[in-house]
Amino acid sequence: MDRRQARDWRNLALLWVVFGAFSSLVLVPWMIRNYPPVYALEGEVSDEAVFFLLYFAVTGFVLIVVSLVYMVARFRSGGEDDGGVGGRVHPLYVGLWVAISALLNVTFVIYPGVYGLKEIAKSAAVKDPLVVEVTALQWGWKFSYPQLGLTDQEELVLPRGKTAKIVVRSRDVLHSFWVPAFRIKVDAVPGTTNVLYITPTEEGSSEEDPRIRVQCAELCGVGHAWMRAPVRVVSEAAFLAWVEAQGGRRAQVLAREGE
Amino acid sequence: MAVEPVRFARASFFDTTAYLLRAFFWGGIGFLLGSGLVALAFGQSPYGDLGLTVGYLFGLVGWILGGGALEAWVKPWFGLPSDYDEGTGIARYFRFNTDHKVIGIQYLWASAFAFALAGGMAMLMRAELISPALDFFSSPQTYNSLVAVHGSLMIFAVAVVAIVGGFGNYFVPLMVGGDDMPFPYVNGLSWWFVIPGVLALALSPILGGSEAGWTGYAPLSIQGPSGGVLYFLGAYTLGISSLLTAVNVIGTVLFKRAPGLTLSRLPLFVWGMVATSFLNLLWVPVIGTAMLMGIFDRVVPTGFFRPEVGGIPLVWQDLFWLFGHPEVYIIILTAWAIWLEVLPVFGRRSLAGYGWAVGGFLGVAFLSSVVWTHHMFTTGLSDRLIPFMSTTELISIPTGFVFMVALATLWRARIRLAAPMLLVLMSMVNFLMGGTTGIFLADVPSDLMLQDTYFVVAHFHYTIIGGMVFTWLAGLYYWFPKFAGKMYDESLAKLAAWWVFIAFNLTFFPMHIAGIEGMNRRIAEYLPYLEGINTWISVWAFLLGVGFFLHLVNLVYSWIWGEKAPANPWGGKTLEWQTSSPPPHHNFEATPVVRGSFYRYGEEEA
Repeated sequence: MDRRQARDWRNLALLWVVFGAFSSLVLVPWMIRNYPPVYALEGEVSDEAVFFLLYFAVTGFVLIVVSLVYMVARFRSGGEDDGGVGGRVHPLYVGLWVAISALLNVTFVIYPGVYGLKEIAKSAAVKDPLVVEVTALQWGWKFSYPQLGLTDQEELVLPRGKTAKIVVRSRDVLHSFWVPAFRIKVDAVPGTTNVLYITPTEEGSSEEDPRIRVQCAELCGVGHAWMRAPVRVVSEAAFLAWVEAQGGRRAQVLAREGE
Repeated sequence: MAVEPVRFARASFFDTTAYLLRAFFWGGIGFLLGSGLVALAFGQSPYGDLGLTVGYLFGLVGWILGGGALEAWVKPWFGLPSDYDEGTGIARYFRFNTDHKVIGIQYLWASAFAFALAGGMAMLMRAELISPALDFFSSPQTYNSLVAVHGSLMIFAVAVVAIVGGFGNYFVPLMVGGDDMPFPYVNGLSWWFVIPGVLALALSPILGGSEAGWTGYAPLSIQGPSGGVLYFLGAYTLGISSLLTAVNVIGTVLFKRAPGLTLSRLPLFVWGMVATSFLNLLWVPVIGTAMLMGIFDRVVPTGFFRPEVGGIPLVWQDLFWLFGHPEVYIIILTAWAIWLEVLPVFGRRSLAGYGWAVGGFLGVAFLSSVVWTHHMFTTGLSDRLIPFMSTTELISIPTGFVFMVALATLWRARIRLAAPMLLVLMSMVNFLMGGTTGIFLADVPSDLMLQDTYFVVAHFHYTIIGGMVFTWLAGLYYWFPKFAGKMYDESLAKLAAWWVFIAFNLTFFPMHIAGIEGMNRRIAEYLPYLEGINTWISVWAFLLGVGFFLHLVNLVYSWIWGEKAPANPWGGKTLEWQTSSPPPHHNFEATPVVRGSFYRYGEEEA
């Protein structure tokens, strides 16, 4: 390696350190701070996945773009002839590249991939969840609470801290049950039943934050954009009051949890 | 044979386009005949599902015969006299022709036409989305139809056609030193499926529109107004075109290589086309089957995707993405291949790691066939999540080889930043963004949030516009001297390149944020809290449209008034540069002989 090449490498390494530090210490933390608030335990798992991946994705992107810009600036020619032989990749370069990309990929599959799925699935093991049957149809949502004797509600009301088992069905075409503030979504597929577990962690409502709304996320025809429904996450007491006001019955499932 | 210069001014419009106009006319008559027969025989509306389907088939036959296939192909079958003239000059591009170079240009103009059409629709969509309420269109039906047509055209008539059909047809035979493709008549025919496909997709809004987007998810796509059947017909027709091209490309590489051109010396663009063609050969029949099942579900009606009679809607998604994911790589593999053609030429530096690049292409082609379920992570198929998350993550390893080779080639190069090089570098940055955001969509916990939001919209526009369209532009400028025989305007090309790069990033980057903030896809109307970001996106989208128009102006202007191009303006070493610009009818005056690598610089010449 001649002196010029050593200097090129040193400059590039310096840029990597500076931009790598900027990305991972300033840029990504700033993005995470500005991420919209999350209202569900399962959504926090999804957010953790996004945050973890951001560190690698943003930093990796920045480093490669910095390298590219540096090379174009450094190795620009006035148009005269050849840049020398080249044509071979150094075994160390290939080895490092393949090893790092393989390592990152295996890591991402295990964490946050498989790990996150296991975390989200934990909610399925919660005893006596509050069952909410969601029917999606062109174009609207119906919410039923079979344990509480409530059917066809126009609004999704959930008690904070109580795991809800959301059973999603479609009456006609594909839809997708999504509350942006809860993050995770599941499709409503005609002919099958899908289940989503949501444990709300904060109180809030659609009026306070429009991200707390049921929004159909799968194209379902003319009314797709309007296929929304209001959501409220309330305290357990307020939830019971709402159930009574709607004419439902006080259910075991909630009483036990309240102890 | 003498080189035929392109004359624009001399021939009259009607002389030039006589066959094309006849094709439209016969196609129209065929359509009326077919749909009229249905109306008479079954008493159904001629514009119902069945009437449209039969009319379309009749129209397709009329169109192909009218375009010149009658004289060029059919009459000789029956021993009838035929003095079909494939034409000269610009007229060649508007009639049945068997020269792979003419067909390549036919594909390029057809894709550019579809790109302008679908791009114009995107402008209308962004006009609607400037403000939250539905105020630009009178009904969301119009918006939804435009979403469907924009997506279908951009994918089926631009992304998988422009580079593969355009550059593939023109340059694969040239780059392997061959005189043409092995089945020139099949090749000539393949292009005639493009325009009917484009028209079927583009005209569906007149008949109520196809509601279900470019993915045509059942059961929505098998219900609704009869315009929906045109989605299946159009996509099916465009698939036939891809399939015929794939056969010819593989045949060319197998049978038309110049002496000395071993597989280990094959140009990378040709490797990219081989990988792509095998994907087309394997998977286009799958989506073709799906499209036929969709047509049958609408017309007969069968119940393949109809849950009320035991059909399974998710099977549509499986069939669609079995092709649909390989297709993503059909789009991008050839773009990567163009990067690796352009980088050594404009870097005056030997390509570093040829074998790794080829390995990357083949690895991606192989893996792309086993990742499709990542489009279906939210459908409730929990058994499939971990396997398909793993394969999807894995595919970034061979993808990385392309960047590994590109960066190593640029290291200590002598870079000339002409427009093709500039656009390739921009494309690399854009595609890197699209690849990076792909990680979030491959990982199930984050995908459950991001699926079906504007984050996905941003992601695939970064890969397809950023990766493929920027590279298409790069390729157009790179090969323009060769196929047009003229030089383009370098300053305007660079200006327009920076214009689209800036406007593109300022349009599509904010879409990631809109998605995270809770904006879902395919909506004509959104909640007021998302207004600021959408207004911003719309304004930059219009400017992006202007930028693409600048490129078009440059190409058309230069083709007519540009300076005459030398045979090899860039000092390229692949075989297409070793013949005149444009090349003679059978490409080479004498069959070239290959004695070494095409990508060596700074040593003795290959």
